[in-house]
Amino acid sequence: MRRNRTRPIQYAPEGTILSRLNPLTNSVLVILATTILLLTINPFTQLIFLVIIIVLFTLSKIKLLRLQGMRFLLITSGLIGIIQLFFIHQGDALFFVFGIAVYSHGVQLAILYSSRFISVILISYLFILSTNPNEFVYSLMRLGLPYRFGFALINALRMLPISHQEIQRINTAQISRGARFKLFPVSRLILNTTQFFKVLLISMFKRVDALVYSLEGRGFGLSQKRTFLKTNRMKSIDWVVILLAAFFLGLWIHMRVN
Amino acid sequence: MIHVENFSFSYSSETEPILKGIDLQLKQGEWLVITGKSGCGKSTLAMALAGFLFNPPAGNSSGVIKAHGMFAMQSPLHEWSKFIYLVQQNPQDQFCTLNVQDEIAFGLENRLEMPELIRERIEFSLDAVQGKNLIERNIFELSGGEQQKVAIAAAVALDPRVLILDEPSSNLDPESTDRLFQTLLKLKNTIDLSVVIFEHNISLIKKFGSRHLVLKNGKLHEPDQKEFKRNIPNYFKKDQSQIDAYGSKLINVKDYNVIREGQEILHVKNFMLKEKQIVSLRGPNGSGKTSFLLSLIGFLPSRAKTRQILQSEISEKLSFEIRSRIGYAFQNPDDQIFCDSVMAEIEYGPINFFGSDHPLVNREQQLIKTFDFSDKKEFHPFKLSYGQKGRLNLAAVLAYRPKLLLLDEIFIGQDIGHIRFLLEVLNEYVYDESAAVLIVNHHPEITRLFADDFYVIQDGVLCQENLNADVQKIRGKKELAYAKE
Repeated sequence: MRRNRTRPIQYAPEGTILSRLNPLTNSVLVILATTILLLTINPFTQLIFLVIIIVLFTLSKIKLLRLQGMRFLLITSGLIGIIQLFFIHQGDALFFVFGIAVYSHGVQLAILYSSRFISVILISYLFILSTNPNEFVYSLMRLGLPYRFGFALINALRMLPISHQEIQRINTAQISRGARFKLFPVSRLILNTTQFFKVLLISMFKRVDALVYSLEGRGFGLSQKRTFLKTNRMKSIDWVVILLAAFFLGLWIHMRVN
Repeated sequence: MIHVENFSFSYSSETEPILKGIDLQLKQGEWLVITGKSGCGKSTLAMALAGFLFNPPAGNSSGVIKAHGMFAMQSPLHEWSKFIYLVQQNPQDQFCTLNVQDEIAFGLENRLEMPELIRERIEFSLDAVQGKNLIERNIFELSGGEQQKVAIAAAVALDPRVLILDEPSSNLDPESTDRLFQTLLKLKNTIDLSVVIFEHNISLIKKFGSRHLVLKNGKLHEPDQKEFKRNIPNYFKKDQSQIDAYGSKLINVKDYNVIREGQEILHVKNFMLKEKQIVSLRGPNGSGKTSFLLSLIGFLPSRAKTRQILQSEISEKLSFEIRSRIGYAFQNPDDQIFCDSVMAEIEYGPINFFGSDHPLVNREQQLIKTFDFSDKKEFHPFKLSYGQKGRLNLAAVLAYRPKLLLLDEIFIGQDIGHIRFLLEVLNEYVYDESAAVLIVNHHPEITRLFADDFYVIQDGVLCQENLNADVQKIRGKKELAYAKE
């Protein structure tokens, strides 16, 4: 059997280098790393950060080019760079492309914005690939997030793939019965679209009905508090990583200010 | 244990009660199976016993449902379900978390149980359903049978006295159904759990030695044995001349691979379907039966040496004309109801394919009569029972007279009488229209009575089943094998 070459952006049990950390540590790291990336204005430092992120992916044995959406990410990043190259006319003229002068400041900004864009997206990818969403929400609930909100989030996560499959099934059924989603005649398109959403809504309402019975039957929402099987406690390594990251951010801000 | 006295119920939107004076006594540790025709009110009775219909009220009810000194109508659901717990028809819909351990712990955590006890209950309940290996699994990775196991384990963890299951076998292959019933039997014997099963599959009742009641005309009755002993209609027996009359090939695939998410999930060495043929395809849950059907009409990609459907190359860009000659009935009837009345639903395909002036559009009256929807033609299809919706789907597909029918588990939710009816309709259609049918199903005991050829999917390979000797033997007998039971 031939293997799929593209890796979806979703949590995988095999995880990454960050998977051993508590989900909360991962979320703190992402916030701190993104802050540092946004504060960095030196293009070459920004490039160094990009290299570090790529190294993190390599250490996690994830092939970047096989990640879903990488082509789009690279193209967008390239376009951001090109806009800087051709529209910033400050600094020294370095060379000409199709008769348009490219200036030194344009090159610097192209490197800065392109690499910042890629870095921020990649760091969020790393978080998604490393963090079990279920564990993350449970950790937030342990931290004080009201459990009703927590389970609303968990059920939204649960419903996402189900509704995706449902959309595909209904769409397939409709097309197999001769429905066509062409722009003209518009009245037909509106009718087909309305019918599609009606079926989808009814189906989702039925699922929600079943879920409500299940939640209520199992005493959900009965008490203000609930017990948790999982403790999801922070380990020493989590605290060490958070403190190091916070120290690094503080140092970075200090250097930027002075 | 459960005491039901003169219980009647009608939904708010309907005048006629669906349950009319139900009387039932269920003892501790008893195993009861309730059968009945589709649309007779089995799911309503299951929901009533589980306390789902009363807070807030879904309709008008009278009579008494009592258990453990509590009355269903007056008790909050969380209190009632401590004693009587319903595992709903689709287990996936009732999961509240993302993995097995959390799912089983969920109810206990809500009841403020301590982690030590929760751990014990998880171990006990997974052991009871023989599913200890599932503890770390993600809910989405589970097969249909495993989902049922987890739903039952989540119920058992809460230690109810009565477990109700609404058509637990409807989405399961025979092997998974057998395993599920073995599990339930073990639960009954080990923890003295009372089990009430609402089911179509009558063959399971004798096999597991249960008490059997039939829901008919809104009341519970002792089963009438004569109803289950009917002769095989003669047309199920095909003679050589009929076999010789098979026409041209409507599906012809060789060295065919079905691809899902970039991966080859099914290999077909050779598959052929000719005019006037009915071919059965079976296989375990998740083996790729639906994917095979979807690939044939180009909704899933495929690679092949030869891949033809209605003399056209199978591809994602099948022409509209070819699509109009293929009738596809999907597994879940709810996903394929697009109109506001039964009549409009039947007209939907013909209007889409041929326009509202085409003579086929006027065929709905005949189909409404055949499918017994005369008194329901203005009904909203979503008001029909699951089985009725399934039959409506088939009527809606037959309305545009497709040459080729691809039917995905259309027997789900159908009682024996309606399965027989659907087979009669299909058999007649195949001969009248020189059409062909590929029918995916979990009922080898039924399909071997009428299908001309048999295919099975095993370990990612679709191959021909050698049932011919068996089939001839069975077709020679006068009574349906399953009907004897």
